Amino acid sequence: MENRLARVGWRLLPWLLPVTVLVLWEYGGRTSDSIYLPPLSDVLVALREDWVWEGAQDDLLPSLQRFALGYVLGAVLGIAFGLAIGSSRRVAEYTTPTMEFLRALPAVAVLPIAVLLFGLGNGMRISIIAFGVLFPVLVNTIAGARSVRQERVDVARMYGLSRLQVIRRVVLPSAIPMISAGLRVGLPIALIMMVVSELVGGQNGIGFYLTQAQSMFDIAGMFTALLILGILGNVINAAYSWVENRRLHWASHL
Amino acid sequence: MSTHMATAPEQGSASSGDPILEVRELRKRYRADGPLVCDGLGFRVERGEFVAIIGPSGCGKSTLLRMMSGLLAPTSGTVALDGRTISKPPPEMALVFQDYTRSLYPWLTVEKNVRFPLAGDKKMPAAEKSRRVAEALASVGLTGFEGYYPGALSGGMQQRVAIARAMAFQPQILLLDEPFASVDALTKEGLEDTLLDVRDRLRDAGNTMLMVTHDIDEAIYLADRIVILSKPPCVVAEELQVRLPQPRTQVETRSDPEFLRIRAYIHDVMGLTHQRQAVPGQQN
Repeated sequence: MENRLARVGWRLLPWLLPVTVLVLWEYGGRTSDSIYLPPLSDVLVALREDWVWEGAQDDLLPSLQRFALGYVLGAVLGIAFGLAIGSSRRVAEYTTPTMEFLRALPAVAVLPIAVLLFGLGNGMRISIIAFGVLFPVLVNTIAGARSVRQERVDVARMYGLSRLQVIRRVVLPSAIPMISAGLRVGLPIALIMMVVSELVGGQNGIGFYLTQAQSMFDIAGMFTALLILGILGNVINAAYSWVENRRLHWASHL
Repeated sequence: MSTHMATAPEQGSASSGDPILEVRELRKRYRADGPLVCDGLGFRVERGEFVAIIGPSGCGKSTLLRMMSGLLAPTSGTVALDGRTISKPPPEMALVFQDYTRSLYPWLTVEKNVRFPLAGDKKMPAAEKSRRVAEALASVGLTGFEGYYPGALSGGMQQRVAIARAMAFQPQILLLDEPFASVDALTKEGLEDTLLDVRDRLRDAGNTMLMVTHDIDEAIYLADRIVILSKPPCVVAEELQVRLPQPRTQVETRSDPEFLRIRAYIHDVMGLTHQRQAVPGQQN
């Protein structure tokens, strides 16, 4: 009996901190005079008013679409270039200095240039997200492709596979665990770039909502955007872990 | 130097008959200013033979095998298959590597690993591919493990998957690079016999086997002929016929006087025999 109680106690322990924070938030908001800390209950009311469900359609959905497109674009480019650079010494020699230069640029700093190049539309936002995702995926794909076992390539060559087939059927799967790590690093970066790209000249999106709320001094509204972003980040990360666990069970034997 | 030289077993290279593989004057330097790994190495393998190549460690056995399989270009000299000089891996060859953990594809199931060499063949019907895969797995005793991933199998079983993969390809020549060097002694005996079974089944089809090893006993037990390499830069030091009765069995073959004679002789040739001093005060 005591044991079971103890076990339930341990289970609940991780929830202790967030619950305490939320309670303190509510309490602090109610007792303080500052307008910059609205109590949790006010934020939740704003959350229902602004995001269920019209707001979700107007701002959340467009953000998610740009996030998905930019992420996939950056990931595909990163994997394709990474495989080319990782499996050919010549391609690597030609591209490495350029890549190293571009990689050192903070993606956020590219934003003004992207605005000039692509205007204030979806093209600019998607390409900014893709730019942010590209480099972690690229760097990991290169490392993954270079770490392929020579024996595995030799076996495929013995069975008559062409260079391209070897890359697709041996180098790519060998690099998948590394690529996967790069894709995971890319997720929060894509989220950041999504919000940042929506802060300038947007018509919709979570970032746009944030700037609107700020200009209208809607403090509770700003907090709802933070809540949404926090939940979004966690859901995306959990979904990625779930897929990774199901698809990469063999990687522990590489 | 040993005091008693073992009497020489029958020596001899492949009689001219019908060489399937001919290695001529093979030389290899990895860098232009680097040391010679092989220095004018040459021998022939007849169709249907099982030849073992042995040599001291670091003598360039694996380099030789990579050159024979067309994976590595020699600095000079040629490797000819059926009279044609090879410049890339020929479709008649398959190769089994020493380290199964590095040569199997861990992201594919056992079935798909064995099917891998056939996957690119668009002319072969799928039913024929499945039949070959099933047959290859059966011949190494792995029926029922099709859906497993290599990582879930023991080392010996993984190496049998690697052998099955080569068998499914139905090569005319099977090259084996120290295939049993990374398994324990008992598993190794089992795998040697699996290999002999596979060989018996394929002998009529004219299947040729060429194995590189540093294990003298294994070479005698398995092979029809042994090519002994010198210290690096390697050349052929000697070629021996192994006249042991078929079928070979672990206990009988290994205690055959001929087996022991060849064994002693190879030890002499490779300079491995040394006279041990009797320990003073010890009596038998």
